[in-house]
Amino acid sequence: MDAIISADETLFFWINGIAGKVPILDWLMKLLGDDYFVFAIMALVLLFLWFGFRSAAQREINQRAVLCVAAAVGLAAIVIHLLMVYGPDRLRPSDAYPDLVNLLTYARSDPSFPSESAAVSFAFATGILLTKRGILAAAMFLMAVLVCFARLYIGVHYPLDIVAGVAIGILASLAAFGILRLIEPLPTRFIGFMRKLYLA
Amino acid sequence: MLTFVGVYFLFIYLASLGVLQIAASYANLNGLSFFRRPNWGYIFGALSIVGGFCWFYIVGNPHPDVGYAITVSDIFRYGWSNPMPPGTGLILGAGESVLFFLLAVGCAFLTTIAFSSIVKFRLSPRTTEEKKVEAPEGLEALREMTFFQAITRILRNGKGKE
Repeated sequence: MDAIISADETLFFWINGIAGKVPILDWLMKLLGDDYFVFAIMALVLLFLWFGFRSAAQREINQRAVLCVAAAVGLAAIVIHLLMVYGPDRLRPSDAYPDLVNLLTYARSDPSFPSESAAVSFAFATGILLTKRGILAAAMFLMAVLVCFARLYIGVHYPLDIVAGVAIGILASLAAFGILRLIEPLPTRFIGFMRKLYLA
Repeated sequence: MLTFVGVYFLFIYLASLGVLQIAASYANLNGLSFFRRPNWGYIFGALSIVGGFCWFYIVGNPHPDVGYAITVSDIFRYGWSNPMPPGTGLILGAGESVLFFLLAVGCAFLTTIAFSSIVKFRLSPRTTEEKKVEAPEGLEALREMTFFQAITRILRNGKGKE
């Protein structure tokens, strides 16, 4: 276990060591790794998917994708918060090594393990992949990977936190996809009800 | 506290308004669009989204050196005032971000249906009887009528059944 933690920290310092050298890269990573930018984009994509369709078949796929992603993100958030409360209370890199970390943002006080950003972004991407596929899923995965890298770059997570977050996000999406199939026809009825109100 | 929440709310509100206009133009939902021509919907949508992001990242200072995560109880306790020491920036936790995101999207949707219903109140040239028979269900109905016209149709059909 010590060897894994040591390798984890070595990789973290290698990536975080790049920070502070190229101002434009720092600015980009701060933007990608912040708490709002990518998540706002992902959520706005869901809003577009709900309303933006050209055929009934496309609408059906899009709205089911939105339900799956919403359920996946909800599940991932629950698991993350349970792990933060009952899991290992790992200090943030900037708290463990205040003099060595290039922290490009404010210091967080919650546990470092696991990464909520990685979990949520991968829950989004996997949810889209499972239900819709195509270029949008690829773009979501690219954004999710960039978020994960940016979180390491700006010094708020260790690689192992990110790996755990990614695993939670993917598993939450698979679980949400399965649950939505299992509880069918409830999702269909929900969309049908929304259609009666001209909201779907 | 409320100042930062307001900045975030306006960011999401503007961006959602833009996304809804782009979606309405893409899906030919004339009853949700503010414009007759779809291209204007795309232009308005893009400007609104970019404007929302610029507003938040220029005015909101989401990358403070020291951050304090606002909770809902803080908002009730402190209102517009900020009791944090100078230099402490305000941020939103995950739960609060989602809460205010949903509120802002809801307000953007209400604005969209209200404004589009006002500017397109003469959208459907067909008679009420024709609308009852032919108009499709769901969002597809908003290709030929506004949201208020669609809701009126529900109410009329309901009364008709009685």
